[in-house]
Amino acid sequence: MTAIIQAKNLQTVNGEIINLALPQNTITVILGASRSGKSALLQQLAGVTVHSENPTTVCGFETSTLTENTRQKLRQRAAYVLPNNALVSNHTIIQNVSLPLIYHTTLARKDAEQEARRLLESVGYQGNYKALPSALTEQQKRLVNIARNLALKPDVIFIDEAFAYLDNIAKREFVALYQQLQTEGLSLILATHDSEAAKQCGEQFIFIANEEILFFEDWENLSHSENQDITNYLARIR
Amino acid sequence: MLLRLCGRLGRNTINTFAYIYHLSLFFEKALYTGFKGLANRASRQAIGAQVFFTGIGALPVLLFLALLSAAAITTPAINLFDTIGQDRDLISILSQTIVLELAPLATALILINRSASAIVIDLGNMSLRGEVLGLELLAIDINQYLVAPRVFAAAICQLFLSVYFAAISLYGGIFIAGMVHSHRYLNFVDDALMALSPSLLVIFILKNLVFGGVIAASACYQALHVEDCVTQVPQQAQKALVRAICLIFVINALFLVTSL
Repeated sequence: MTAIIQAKNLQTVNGEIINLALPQNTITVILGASRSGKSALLQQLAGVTVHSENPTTVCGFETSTLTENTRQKLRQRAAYVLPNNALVSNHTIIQNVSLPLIYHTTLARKDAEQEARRLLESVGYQGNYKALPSALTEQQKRLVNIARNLALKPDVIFIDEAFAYLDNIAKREFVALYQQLQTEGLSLILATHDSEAAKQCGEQFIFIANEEILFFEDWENLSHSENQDITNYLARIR
Repeated sequence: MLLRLCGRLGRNTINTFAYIYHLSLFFEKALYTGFKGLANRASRQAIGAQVFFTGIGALPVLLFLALLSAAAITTPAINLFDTIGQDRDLISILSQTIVLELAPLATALILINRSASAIVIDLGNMSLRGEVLGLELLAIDINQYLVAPRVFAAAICQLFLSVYFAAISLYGGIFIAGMVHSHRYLNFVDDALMALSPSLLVIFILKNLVFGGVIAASACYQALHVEDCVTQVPQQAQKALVRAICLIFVINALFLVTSL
């Protein structure tokens, strides 16, 4: 399988250097306790932050050599969903989702809004399209944020705190949504500390503890790891 | 004590020049990306929305101030003409003073208080809530979508509001003097217009465009410096307002010196 993301020279705590290659059309979950560095790694893999000592290639773009122009192109192919669901607060839901289409494409406003409605329906948003973001629950905001990021038809989507602010029922719905997006051809990289939800939708896992980065090809390998941090983390969650 | 004072003076001078340098770069980038972005629908719509807010909303307060200045400056000045004589020369001086000095400065001060503070609060809160970063991650150029429309709209509105202010202040004053004191004063309507040569009109247009652009650029520049805490919004708003006022007077002085 072709790698959509390649990160080189990621250094683990014990000095080991690892190269990461994440294949296309898979769901990769970055797991770890709060403040373990999941978001930092996610941002690095997405090319949002650049570490010159760790060359990273995302969707064919070398992140350390990005110009303003190529950065814009990369952002259109690698969507990044922020954890705080920062929608534009004075735009309605439909305006928020149609904004990237109006800005980046030649679609007429009416068609852009039609496409925005389709995207919102496809992610399962059932609220008011003309509401302002302040009227929405965190779960609804997350759905709108994902729909907005899907507007430009990216190849890969990075989602920080993929299961934050969700109850158990909502978590199951989001697991189903992420799997649906994968079947539609998207690659997903999720950062979360929720191992139960991660187990349900993840295909491969990156575990971070004390800045140590460990890669597992499936949940079985992760859960049987003898690494003390992973054992402690899983025990604490159980 | 003296050394400390000199040190402080030096630091403040360096900071002032650094601020002007960075603001100039910011302004230049806003203009560059803004002109590029005129082809973009979302940017054009943002300019339209800003023009509506900045321009239309300021009309009532400017009308009030212009009428006040007409009654308090233009009418009494015209009344003095009888005592001094040389009507034509004096109406020319009055016309140039109102059109080239009073109108741009009064409009700029209203724009600073109304729009610059609104820009800092609006953009500063957007920055604080991560909305600006969210837009950047959607490959939306912040300069093109947020900064340039505000700069362009402020420049356009400053020019038109200044024309509006000057017209009411000057002709309103002549009209009041004509109605209250002598109908003869109504003849000054043509003289007031003739006093403005094409070169003075060019200076008027340039000055207003620069004023408007600088006011909005200064507000956007400060707003995008809000990062960590909600108290930074009023702090940056205060800085933006004070700095914009200072810049307007400095630029006005520069126009005055260069047009002599």
